[in-house]
Amino acid sequence: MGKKADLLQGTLHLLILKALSVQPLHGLGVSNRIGQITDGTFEVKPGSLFPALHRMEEAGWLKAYWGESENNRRAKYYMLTKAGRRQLETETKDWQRISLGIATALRAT
Amino acid sequence: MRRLFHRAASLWRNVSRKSAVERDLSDELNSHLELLVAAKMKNGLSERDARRAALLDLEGAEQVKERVRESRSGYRFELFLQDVRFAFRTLRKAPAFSLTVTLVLALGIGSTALMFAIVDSVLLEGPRFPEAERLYTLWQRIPEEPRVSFSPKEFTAWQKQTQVFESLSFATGTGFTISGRGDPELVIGRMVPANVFQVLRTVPQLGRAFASSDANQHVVVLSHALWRKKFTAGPDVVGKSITLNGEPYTIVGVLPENFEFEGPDAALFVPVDLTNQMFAQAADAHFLRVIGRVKAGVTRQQLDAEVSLLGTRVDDPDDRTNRRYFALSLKELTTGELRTPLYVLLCAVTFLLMIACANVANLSLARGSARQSEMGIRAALGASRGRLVTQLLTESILLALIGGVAGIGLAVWGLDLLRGFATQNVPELLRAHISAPSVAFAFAVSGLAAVLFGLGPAFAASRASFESVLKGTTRTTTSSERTRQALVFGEIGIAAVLLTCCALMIRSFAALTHADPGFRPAHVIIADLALGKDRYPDAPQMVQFYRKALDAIRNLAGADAIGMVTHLPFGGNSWGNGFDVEGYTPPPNTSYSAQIRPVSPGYFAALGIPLKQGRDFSEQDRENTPGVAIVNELLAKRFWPNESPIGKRIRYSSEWLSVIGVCGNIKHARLDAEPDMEIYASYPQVPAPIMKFVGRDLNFVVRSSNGGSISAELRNTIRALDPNAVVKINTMDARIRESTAQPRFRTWLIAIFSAFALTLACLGIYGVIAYLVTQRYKEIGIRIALGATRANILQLILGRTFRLAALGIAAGLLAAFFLSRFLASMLFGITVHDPLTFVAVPLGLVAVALLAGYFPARRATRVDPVTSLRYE
Repeated sequence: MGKKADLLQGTLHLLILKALSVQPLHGLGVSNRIGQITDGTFEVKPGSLFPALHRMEEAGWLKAYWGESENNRRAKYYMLTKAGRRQLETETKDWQRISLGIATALRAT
Repeated sequence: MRRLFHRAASLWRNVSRKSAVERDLSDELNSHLELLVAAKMKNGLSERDARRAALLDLEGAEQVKERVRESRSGYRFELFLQDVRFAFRTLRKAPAFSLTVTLVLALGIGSTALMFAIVDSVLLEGPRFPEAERLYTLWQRIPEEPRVSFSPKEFTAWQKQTQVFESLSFATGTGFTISGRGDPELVIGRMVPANVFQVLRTVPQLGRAFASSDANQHVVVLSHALWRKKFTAGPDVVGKSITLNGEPYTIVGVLPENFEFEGPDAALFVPVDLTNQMFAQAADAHFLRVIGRVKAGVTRQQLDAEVSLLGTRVDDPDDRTNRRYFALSLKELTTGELRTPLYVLLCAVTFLLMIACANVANLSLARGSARQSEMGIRAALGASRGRLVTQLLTESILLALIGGVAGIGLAVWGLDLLRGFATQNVPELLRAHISAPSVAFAFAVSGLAAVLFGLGPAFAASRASFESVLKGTTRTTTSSERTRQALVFGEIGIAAVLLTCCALMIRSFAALTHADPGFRPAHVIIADLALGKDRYPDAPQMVQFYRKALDAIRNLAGADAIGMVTHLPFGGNSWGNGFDVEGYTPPPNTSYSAQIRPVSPGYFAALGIPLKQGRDFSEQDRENTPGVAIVNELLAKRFWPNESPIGKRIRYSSEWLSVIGVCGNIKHARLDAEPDMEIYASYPQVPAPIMKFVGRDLNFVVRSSNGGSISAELRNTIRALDPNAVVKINTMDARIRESTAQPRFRTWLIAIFSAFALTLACLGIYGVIAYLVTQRYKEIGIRIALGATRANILQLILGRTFRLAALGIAAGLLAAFFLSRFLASMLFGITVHDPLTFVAVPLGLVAVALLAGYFPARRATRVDPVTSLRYE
């Protein structure tokens, strides 16, 4: 299965929010999209994907609805809510601050 | 905020529409699988291979579902409900265990809650007056008496000079005969200054408190109880008239129900001030119980400083006394005597609770080892250790809660029972109620008990491993066996401590009831009566009545000896007075006081007080003959150690009296107190102004071998002389028994607790030995097969029992040896290391322990070697 990075605690939420920022997706769609936008660095397993999706739905960041997939199958779709978009913004800022901090720290001699 | 709302909504959805949520999850995962399969087939796999790969990718639909469930809101709550449901089911499946544990816990928690309720309402709550912590009573101490009241003279001086008291007041008790409403009845009333209710900050429930203009007027404030009894709680009572001692009094107020000042028996309050003739005539008599409210912010040190300062300043320089003045807060005053017994009882129930918890832990451990295979299997099926511990803890908390609720029920019932049993003699119990703090205490205790007895067994059981279960050998056996034996050791030890204390108290109580009062109380009938002021305004009328009554009673058939006394021992009132001995100058700063008893001729014979020297009073010792007195041995030995007291002179008022006789010492009000010095006077010779004050309550004493019939005749005889007199007939034995009501009550309580403790400890022994027998079933079978006799087996098992019990008992006795000194103030007639107790208790305990071990041991002797070898 190749060498995949383990997901950092908390980054999964950010990735899911990001994956859903363009359009609503079903579970497999979210997982594929994350693989795509991270150039295959991250692979999200159903065992962590679905609990995260449900948790985020309960937090009010996502809204779920049943729809038709591209090949006419019934699938449960997730879309960002307003709160979800706000969350994406704050988490993005937080992440940028953290990664900048860590990068600076690693550059230090 | 919004997020919280979302969470709450999801929680509600998860709980209320559980099946719909579950179906949705299942649909979602199915559709996910189908999408995966479709995607794999697009990449060129056959449907079969695609499905296999997809299932592998999913890593188990059930596991994913479980993880989603865990992430849901309310997951923990649901888990908890599951645990509770499961706990209920398991407990129902083991009814004997659940019932025993609930009972044992209810007993422990119930008695603790009950004792705590009593301690809480009697000791911790204290008097119920606004800012009661500022209320203090004032006292004096002299060598002969630890607590002496104030005299009117002293009170006046203190009132003028005090800096720390905002206001001072006092109370003095007196009997009032209520007539005109049903049978005439004697009640205890209090004469108080008009400011007393301001000092206490009590507002009457009806009507008003006294105004200063009320002093010495015929007005009265009734207690709530008297209002209910005499006026059936009628709201229009204010302004009505009531006849007290033959004179009409106007009712101005009724006190609230919980008002309690000067004892629960104070039925009415009458306003006086010190200009009243009664106080003016007895300016130096100590009969005012002083209470005052200190100014806000006054510290105890300031108060004590002033009290000792005023004590020296107010002292009459001529009266070279050794009085010490001191203040007691109202709370100290009302709870002082009860403090030690209540704390001892609280300790006793705490011990009982500890035994109960140990017992429950023991039962749980036994059950835990029986459930090891269940735990092992559940662990093997993937239950985490935390999960198993939570489950077992839920079970014990559930049991503890049920036990706690049952315990509170038991406490409520027990308090009712105690009230009915002892209110008369332990009036403080009236105040006791199961309050919120005591309920909270019971639950705190039961919660603690749950954790205590739940945690150990939970860990022990959860340690069970899969292999050991499969192998049928459980490695926790020895360690849990050791824990159980330690628990039983502790139980027996604590039970031994309790039983030792109990035995000491019973021994002390027996000594108390067998204590010699100094007279012979058997066959003595007492008529207690009070004379109204209307018919007997002054001493001559009173003395005349005594004479007539004594003549009439003397003629009763069956009266072997009769007499009269104003201050009967164990009669509830006393008259302590200073006195002088002719030709004797007391050392500086010393004063003496004695009990003064005006009596009639024949009193000594009637009560059975031995006359050691000289003669009894006679009819010739009258108003106009030379004054005479009889003193007790204590007084005689003190002042005339080497010579005959007969003919010496002594005085308690202005008149000298010649000593004509010496009588034996008697106990005055308590069997466990030392005798006082006593001076007996011939009643007609008591100075009239004093007689008028002390002679209104009196007792006729009749010695007769046929008690039943003479009681009625005695009452009729007195009624014939004065139909308005209040007469109470009683036996001297009953009077003395009443004086021991408190020790009897606490001895009973501690005996009950000890009996519970002993029962529980026996249950513990029985459990451990029975388990031991089951475990060594095979071994016993082999022994029997090899020729061991039944006696050998019995000896083997009883030997184990004995070793277990003996260790615990030894430890318990050692602890009791050191702890028993806390009982010292409650013991009478025995030492805290009473040898009989310290021998009898361990012997008795060993016997009981062996009995508890005997039943399982007997079962062991009936082991059939053939079945035992096939056992397991």
